[in-house]
Amino acid sequence: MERVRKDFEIIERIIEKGSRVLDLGCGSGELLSYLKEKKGILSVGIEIDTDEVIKCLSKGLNVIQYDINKGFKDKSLLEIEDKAFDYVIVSKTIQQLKSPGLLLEEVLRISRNAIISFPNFGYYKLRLHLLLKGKMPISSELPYSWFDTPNIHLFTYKDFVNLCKTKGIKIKKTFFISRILNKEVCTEILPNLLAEEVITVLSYEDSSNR
Amino acid sequence: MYKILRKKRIGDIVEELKGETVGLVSTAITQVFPDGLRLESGEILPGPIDVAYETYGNLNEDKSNVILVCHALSGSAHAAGYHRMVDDETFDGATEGWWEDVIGPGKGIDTNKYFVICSNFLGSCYGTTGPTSINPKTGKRYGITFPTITISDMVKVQRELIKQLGIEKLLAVVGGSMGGMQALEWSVMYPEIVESVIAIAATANCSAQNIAFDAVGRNAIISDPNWGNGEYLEKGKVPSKGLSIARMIGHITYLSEKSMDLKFGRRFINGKTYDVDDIEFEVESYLGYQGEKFVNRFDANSYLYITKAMDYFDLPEKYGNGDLKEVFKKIRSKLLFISFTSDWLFPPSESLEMVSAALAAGKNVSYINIESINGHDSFLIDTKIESETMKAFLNSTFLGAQKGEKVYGES
Repeated sequence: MERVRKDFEIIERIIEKGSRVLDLGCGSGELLSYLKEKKGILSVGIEIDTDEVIKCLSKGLNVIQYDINKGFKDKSLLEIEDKAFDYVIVSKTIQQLKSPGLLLEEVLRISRNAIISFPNFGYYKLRLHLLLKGKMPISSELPYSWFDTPNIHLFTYKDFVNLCKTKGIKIKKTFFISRILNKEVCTEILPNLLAEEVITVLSYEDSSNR
Repeated sequence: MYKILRKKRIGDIVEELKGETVGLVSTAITQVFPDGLRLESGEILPGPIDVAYETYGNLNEDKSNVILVCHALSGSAHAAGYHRMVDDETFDGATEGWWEDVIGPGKGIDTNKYFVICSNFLGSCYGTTGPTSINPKTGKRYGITFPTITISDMVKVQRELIKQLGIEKLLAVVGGSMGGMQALEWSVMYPEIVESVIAIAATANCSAQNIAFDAVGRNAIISDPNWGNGEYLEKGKVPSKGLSIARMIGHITYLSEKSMDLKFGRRFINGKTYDVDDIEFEVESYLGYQGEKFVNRFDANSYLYITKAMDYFDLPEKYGNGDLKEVFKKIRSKLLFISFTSDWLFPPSESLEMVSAALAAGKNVSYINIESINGHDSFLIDTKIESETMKAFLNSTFLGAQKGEKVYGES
């Protein structure tokens, strides 16, 4: 049996049964299928790639072909009402967007909570790569060359925390995923250095509205 | 909409395409509403009403594999396969169904799995009661005395046909353009029957621009002296000029700037003649040809009635007090919207508007915007991704329905 991805497990634990979930940049719908099966969520995915959209349809998922960069406010485009969802998931996609800051605001307008996962550019291997080789780091999380990478906004965990602070967004929970002997594990120590991937749960609300 | 394959014999076609087509088919005619039908306008259309329809594939045991296909403005019940067409004494030709690329064994709408029904809608001129039919009350052709009809009247007739065929549930109602309007109206009128809807290159209501184009078309017909207050069939004269111009206008709206540029550009047929009343440009000649072809196969009064029905179509006004979200709250069907990037008649933005409203109403909704240069007609031409999309959606919807999957937004 295929081993469940660590980030899938973590996200599944965060989401309550029957929640309304939107996955931005849902790809072929692996995460949504997993959540649908485990938590019986009411789900929608948004994806730009035609082949991926058709894969989602084959899985019986609701999927909307759309460019997230266009936002969800414009009446002549895809318009999503305030707090239409309980959770909006942005899984390893935010670093690929034109305006990650604006998107974050949009996500928290249309949803009570946001689950944002991203590759941490502060990960020690990436730092060492740049320090010792003097070249843009390439890793399993960030496998592209600088000139053809879709990852146009790279940042560290600390950068992300600062962005949230300036926007008045509360980080309710954070999970740090590191890799030890090729196995994904959660870590709490020196996260900005040791976490390869970070998953955060965000909200505007002060009380943890779960 | 008919592709006439003059070069080939029907036997050769069916042999050549064995396993890829439903093959030789014919249109059946039945009668519904023996006592007449009260129309949306309040008028009564006398019964019985003829309905022309075709079916492809086999009905399964629990009758859960039925797909209703709705045709567009000038379409007919002949959606797939081939009709035998005796061209003249010596030649045996065939007409191909208008969605032959999409409906058939292993195709987007797979006739190996599903039982597919397509019927000619009310008001048309391909077998179902319309202005060319005989009014049973007077024994004369209706002509312009045919009552004004709406999309929902068309749907009511389709519903009656389905009932007569012993079917109580539709896995999907599928349609492009005006067919998409019928599919959407189905889901609002009969929410408990329609499992899913595929609305392609459709809209929730016609824009002022859409209505304007239709109005010019109707004007062209009415201004033709041969139209003679709509009684031309009795007099044996046909308003060919008017109908032809109406079709030419329509045809422009079905193409795109780019596809016209590629097809014709600024090319002349035989160079400049400096004659103002000459047909000089290739695009001119093409439109003229399209118009003429249409006159031979369509009725001018039908064109008036059908375009009117389309212009009246307004889901938010009729079912939601102007709010499309309220309309979708009434439905139970899974929705799939398909649009085409170059369609400026019912552009992607109008599909997105419906997606947004359905999402707000908490419904199961999916959407794909297919890259194409062929304008509104893309749904009949660029069928590859369209078919793959429908196949995936229908397959999972069928499986989901078998498992009794809960409908999104229902408690």
